[in-house]
Amino acid sequence: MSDTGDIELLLEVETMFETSGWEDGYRDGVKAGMLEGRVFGCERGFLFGVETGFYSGFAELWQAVAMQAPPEAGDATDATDAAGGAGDASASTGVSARAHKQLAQLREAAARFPRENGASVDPQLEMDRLRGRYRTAAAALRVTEPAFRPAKTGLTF
Amino acid sequence: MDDVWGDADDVDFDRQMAERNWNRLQDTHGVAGYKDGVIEGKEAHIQAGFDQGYAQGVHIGHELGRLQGILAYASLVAAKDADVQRRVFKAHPTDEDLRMLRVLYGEIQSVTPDTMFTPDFFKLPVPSALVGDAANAAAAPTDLLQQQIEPDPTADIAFHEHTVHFKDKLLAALAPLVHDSILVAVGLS
Repeated sequence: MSDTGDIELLLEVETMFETSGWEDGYRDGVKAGMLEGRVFGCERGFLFGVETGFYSGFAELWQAVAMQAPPEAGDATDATDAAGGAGDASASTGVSARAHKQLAQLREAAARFPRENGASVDPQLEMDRLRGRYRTAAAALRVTEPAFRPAKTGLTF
Repeated sequence: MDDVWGDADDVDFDRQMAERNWNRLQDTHGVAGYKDGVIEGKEAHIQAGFDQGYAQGVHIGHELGRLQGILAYASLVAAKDADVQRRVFKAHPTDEDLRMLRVLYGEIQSVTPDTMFTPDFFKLPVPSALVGDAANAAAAPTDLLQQQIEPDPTADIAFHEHTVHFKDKLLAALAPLVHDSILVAVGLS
C-alpha cells in the first residue's frame, strides 16, 4: 500500500475511534447535563416556590379570616379599630375593602408566578413584583411581621 | 530451521506491535472523542434538565410555602391581635398551643432544597430516547427536550411524602384550635 493509502487508512481508523468515543461521551454527557441541570433547577425552583407559597398562604388565611363571622357584638368596636385602622375598615369582616383587594391581587399574582422556566418571563422580576404586592397587602392589614425569610435565617416571632 | 523460527518471531512481534498501535490509537482518539461528546452532551441538555427541575422545584416548594404562610400567620395573629385571634381560633390558645405551632413551623421551615432533593430523588432513568441513539439525539434536540417535560413519578413521590406529611401534622395541630371554616377555606380539611 502506498504512503497516501496508509495515511488515509490511519485517518479513517482515528475517525472511527473518535466517533465511537464521541457517541459514548455524548450519551454520558446527556445524563450528566440533565442531572446537573435538574439539581440546579430544583433548587432554584424550590426557593421561588416556597416564597410564592408563603405569600399565597398568607393571602388565603387572611381571606378566610375575613370571611369569618365577626366577634360578639360587644367586641365590634374594638374589632374594627384593631383590624381596619384608618377608617375604611369593614365592621362585618374586620378587614378593610382596600385590604381585601390587595389580598385578592396578591393571591392572583402568586398563582400567576411562572411554574415553568421560559424565556418570555423573568422569574426574578416576577418575584420582585410579588414581594411588592405582599408589602402593600401587609401594610393594608397593618401587619409587619413576620416577613418572609429564607429557610436558613428563619422567622422571628 | 533457524530461518523458520526467525520468521515466526517476526510475525509475533509485528502482531504485538500492531495490537499496541491499535490500542494506542483507540485510547488516544477514543478518549478525545469521548471528552468532546461529554461536553457536547452536557451543553445540549443542561438547560432541559434545569427546566425540568425548576418546574418540580416550584411545584413542591409552593405547597410547602403555603403551609408555612398559613402556620406563620396563624401563630402571629394568635399572639398579637385579639380580634383576629377570635376569628381564627375556637378558644384562646394557650402558651403551649403557641409553642407547639412554632415547633411545627420550625420543622416545616427546616425543609431546604438539600433535605428535599436528596441523591435518591435524582436517581431517575433518563428517557430511553436520550440514551438509545446519541447521534439522533444530536440531530433532533427539540423533540428530545419536549420528552423531558413529561411528569416525573419520583418527583410525585417526594412531593407526596413531604407535603402530605406536613399537611397531616399541620391539620392535627390546627384542627383542635382553629375554626373549621378556616381550615376548609385554606384547603386543610
